[in-house]
Amino acid sequence: MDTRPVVLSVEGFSRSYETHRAVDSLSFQLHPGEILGLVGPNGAGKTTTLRTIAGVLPVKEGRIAVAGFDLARDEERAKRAMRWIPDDPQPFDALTVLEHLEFTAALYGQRDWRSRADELLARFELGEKRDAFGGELSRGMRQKLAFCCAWIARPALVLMDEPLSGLDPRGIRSAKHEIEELAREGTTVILSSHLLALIEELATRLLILDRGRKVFEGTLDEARVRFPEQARGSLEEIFFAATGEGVARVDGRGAPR
Amino acid sequence: MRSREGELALALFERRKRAGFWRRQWRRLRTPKGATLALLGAAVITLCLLNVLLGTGQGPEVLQVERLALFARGGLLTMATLTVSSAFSMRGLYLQASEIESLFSAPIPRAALIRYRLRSALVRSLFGGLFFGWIFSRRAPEPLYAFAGLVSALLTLPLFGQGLSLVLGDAENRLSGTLAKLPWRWISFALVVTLVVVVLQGGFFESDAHAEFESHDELFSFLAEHPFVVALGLPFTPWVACMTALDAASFWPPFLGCVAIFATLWLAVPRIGIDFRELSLETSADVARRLARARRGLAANSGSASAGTRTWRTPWLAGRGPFGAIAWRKAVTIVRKSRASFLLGGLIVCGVVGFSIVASEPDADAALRGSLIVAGFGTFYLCLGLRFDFREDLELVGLLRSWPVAPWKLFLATLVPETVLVSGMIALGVLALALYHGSWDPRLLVVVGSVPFAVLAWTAIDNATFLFSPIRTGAAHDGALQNAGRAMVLMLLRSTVLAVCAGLAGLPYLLLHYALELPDVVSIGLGLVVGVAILCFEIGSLVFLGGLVLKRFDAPRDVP
Repeated sequence: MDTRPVVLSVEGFSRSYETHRAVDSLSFQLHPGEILGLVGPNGAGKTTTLRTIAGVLPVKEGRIAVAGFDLARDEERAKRAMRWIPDDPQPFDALTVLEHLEFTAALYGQRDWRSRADELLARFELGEKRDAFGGELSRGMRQKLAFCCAWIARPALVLMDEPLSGLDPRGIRSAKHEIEELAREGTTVILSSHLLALIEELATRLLILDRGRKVFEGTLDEARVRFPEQARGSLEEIFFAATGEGVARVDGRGAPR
Repeated sequence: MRSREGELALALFERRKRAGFWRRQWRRLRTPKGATLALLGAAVITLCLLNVLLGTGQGPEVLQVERLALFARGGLLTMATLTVSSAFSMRGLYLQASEIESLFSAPIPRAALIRYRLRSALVRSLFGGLFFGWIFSRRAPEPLYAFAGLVSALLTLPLFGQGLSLVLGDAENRLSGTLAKLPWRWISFALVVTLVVVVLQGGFFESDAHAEFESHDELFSFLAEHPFVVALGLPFTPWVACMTALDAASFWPPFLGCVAIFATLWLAVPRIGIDFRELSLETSADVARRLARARRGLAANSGSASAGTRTWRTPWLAGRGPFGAIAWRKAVTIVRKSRASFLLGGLIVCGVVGFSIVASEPDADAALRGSLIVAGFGTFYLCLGLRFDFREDLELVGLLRSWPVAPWKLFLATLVPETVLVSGMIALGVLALALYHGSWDPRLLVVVGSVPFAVLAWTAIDNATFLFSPIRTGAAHDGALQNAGRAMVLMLLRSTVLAVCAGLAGLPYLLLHYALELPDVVSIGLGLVVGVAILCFEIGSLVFLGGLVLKRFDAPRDVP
């Protein structure tokens, strides 16, 4: 029996859009320091799941608890324990980079924000942009600012949707390092991405969704046991096997038919 | 062959777009909300149209030919001026942001792209032409000729405008070093202003500035024969001749001339051999930015934060907690992005104050009357015009919902800065009046004190309605019918809630004063205390309701 504290608990979560079932009876738990790789084909329900956990979408079916707080009943405290980084972060165009950090720190009750802000801006190479308006930042810089805002809040759980979009190679390496550091410090991370190599490199657990249903949850090693034909294969091969996209549908040269 | 394929693909694209438009309309009508709002909107628009078209129920007066010609020239001159002005600011070929990359990179000849754009412009002009043609023809001696003349004029203008846009673009390409530095927006603005000034002042009335005309006919004859008017109206001669024709013999020659001009432009404009891509990209990006602002409700009253405001510091008036942070974020946005709007609002309040001062001698009652006007007009105008709340954050509501704050607090914190600023402006106006009139009537305090409640109630109703059923306003929006209906519902709701709130708050005073006949000091004092408590309760309820609506907000379902 796992006695570690539960940072995120999702039980029987479902979500429908009109007649379409986007997520169907999803359940899983996460513990401190875990990095969950959330993968699945387009339309699998990844972003819907992340946005619901983040409190952007209301929980209609099932139960979600963050750091022990029920997201439906104790929304404020549940949200205080996590931070959401959407796939295309949109900073406030009239706030400077430094003011974004000041604002986020106040929002999440962080008093000693200034020194940490300086440190984060230096770490994410945004020091020179501290007085730039949010609306003046490039795609990659917006992503870095979103990281800084998430990090400054010192959350127990960070949700990231395609976190490396728009970053240059140096930014990608730095972001990967920072995500690992964050997890090492005890923060739980959910990483949703189509970059399976990234998931394979960073994630300690995998959650594979397909058409709203969970088709696998566990470590990469457990996945290899579950899909013995891919026992020596990469996550990409496991992904195709799990989602039925299939190796069968890929010809000998690796190109989809 | 390739060129033909491109044309066929564009034609298919247009058909699909039209079908998509009607599908969207149909989808809107299938929901109870969409159907109800469309019905209400149709009622509003029909009433307006009937009012315009039928007037008081009697048919409109048929104008004399000279007067009709003068109106026609004036109208066409105005529209031509707008077309030229638009050509100055929208050079090249305008295509929607979603289309431009794919169409420019597709194997489609440029001439086909221009024709595609012209067809779109003509469809829009046709609708305008049919409407205005109908109205205009009712005042013409020969309605059919007037109708045909006006429609042909309105169909020709977009061709002329597009040609001008391309030619100007070409000129800029050739003289990019010099022309690109010119402030084109200001030039086009100056052109319009100059034209207006010239028409109104420039020697127009000099010779007969104080001439007295015994009848309107004399005035119209004078205007129609004035060399300036004749010169300005000269380019429109064929269309004006069509519109004022009294028989077929006087109609067909100018009409054939109009058709020839149209055909020439239709054939010539796509053949203008210039590379318009760079200018078009700039134009499309500029229009897309303006549309995006318009859809966020900010077309008239918001810009972007200028570099000079980077160092401006806005105080954290509501503290350093989450509530204070949200209020501060909104206040910073208002201060940095909306200076022009508040300047305009301030000028309007100053104007009302000034008018009140000019219109009355210093006197306590006049101060109260003026204050009521300033408070009423200021609240009405500023609340209607300024939208620095959830309505400018539609794209961000999802993000706002992930913040660790109770929905009602988030709702209130977002509305507080706008309420404080509007109330502050009105309070300054009332203070100016009090100073001028030398009146320190306590009733002025009641007026000033009631403004924040009214502003907060107003914005709370508008925002709760917006969050319950968000909407994107502005040009190129295809839910105009629903928008009109929605505006009507909102107006009724706002008026009812505000009236009920004010009525309930005033009830204690009325009971104490009239029913119980208590002394003024007691009835006013007690009435004020209980009234304020009731107002607080009412506003609290509205804010709580707003919080509930914010809590149920579901971006995939609600964001249009």
